[in-house]
Amino acid sequence: MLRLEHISKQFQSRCILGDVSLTLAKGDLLCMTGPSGIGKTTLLEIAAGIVRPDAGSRIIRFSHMACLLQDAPLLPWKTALENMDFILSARISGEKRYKNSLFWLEKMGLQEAAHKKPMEMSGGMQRRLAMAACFAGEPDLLLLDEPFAFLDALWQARIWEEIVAMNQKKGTAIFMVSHATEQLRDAGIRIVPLAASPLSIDI
Amino acid sequence: MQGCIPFIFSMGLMLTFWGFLTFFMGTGLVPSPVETFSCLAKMLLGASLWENVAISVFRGLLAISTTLFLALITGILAGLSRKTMSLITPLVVALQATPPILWITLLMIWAGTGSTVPIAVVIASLYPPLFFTVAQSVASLDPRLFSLAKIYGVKNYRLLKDLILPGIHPYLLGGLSYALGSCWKVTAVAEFFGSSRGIGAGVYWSYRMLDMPQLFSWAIILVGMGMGIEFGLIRPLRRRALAQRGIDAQA
Repeated sequence: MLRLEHISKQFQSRCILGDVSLTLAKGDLLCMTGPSGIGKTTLLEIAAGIVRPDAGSRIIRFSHMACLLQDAPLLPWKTALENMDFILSARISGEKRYKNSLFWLEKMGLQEAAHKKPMEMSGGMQRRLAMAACFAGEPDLLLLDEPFAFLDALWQARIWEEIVAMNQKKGTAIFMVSHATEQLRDAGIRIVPLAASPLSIDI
Repeated sequence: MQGCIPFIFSMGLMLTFWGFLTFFMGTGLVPSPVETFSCLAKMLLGASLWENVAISVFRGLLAISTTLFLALITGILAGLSRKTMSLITPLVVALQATPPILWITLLMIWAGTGSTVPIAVVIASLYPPLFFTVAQSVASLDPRLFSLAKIYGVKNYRLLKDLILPGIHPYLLGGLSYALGSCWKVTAVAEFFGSSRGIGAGVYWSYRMLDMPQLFSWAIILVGMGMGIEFGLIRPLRRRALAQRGIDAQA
């Protein structure tokens, strides 16, 4: 379980998050949508534990978290396979890590790019590589910031299929923020539209 | 062959200037190139020169390795934490502002003559610039990569091996090339004042005996070794560092 309680956050005296409470349990799939600058990314990064809130608490009971950050940072001096190896180094050991990495690179259509560095890849390929690392880590909590950005319709659909499969088959809790929500509307997932700033919600 | 022309031109110019100096100042003060090279040839055949060169090289290498080790440890810690950086910076700036001659004097009093003086002086002189190179390059690494590593629980040794060291590598090469160039000169100066062996000490004894051909021979050895390091090590290192930073190194 992930529980954010009465979270607030300011950036340069601008209040982004007013009072946000959120609970995410095993098997939940939650998507937040809303205009840029409303605080979606900040909330996701607080949930990931990489931004500290000014007030409120974060309780996490999940043991394996994976996160796709907004601009999907990758080690520029390492190949796709080496990036996967680095990210998964603490999660999966030895041969299984290598096999898992290759499997997900192939699933994300990156088998030809396994030995390429991020600079030699397009924005969409880099995004898919970051997604491959998320999936390969076998997380029980998956946090996704704009998972469909830089992707064409085909890859948007494929990645959405993987997200749903991970959620439904493995019970992975998923919290995502995205502008593109058309394809999610029919899936019967919780979509929370955000409009007012500073954000004050209790989900 | 074309690459040798500037070198031959510079050497020719230097020998002409040297010849003029010998002519105007007399061989007592400026030995002729012939006299100097014949003295140098004698020195090259003896064991003393090689022994002194080996001692200086050993001291230089030991000092620069120690400096690099210290600068990496403290620089990485400072680069990762602003608080550590702000706490250490005044101390390192003070070290940077201390002239080598002060270290030489103090160390000669504390440790006498020997290897301690040149090694410690090189460390004290080269640690500050290397520390700042490491600390600033670590601080400039993409913080999102550290966030990512934190989320996935990446172990510290993998952070060091895969993120920090490759990330600072080009800057470290640049800093190291500067340190290598300076190391040589600082070692010689420290040996001149604070050691009875090594190239600097050889210069000192030639000066004491007013043996001008030998003094000039030591000068040739020092400059030759310096040029060897510059062209054989420092420039290739700098070119590699610049190329890795994505800058076209034509200089």
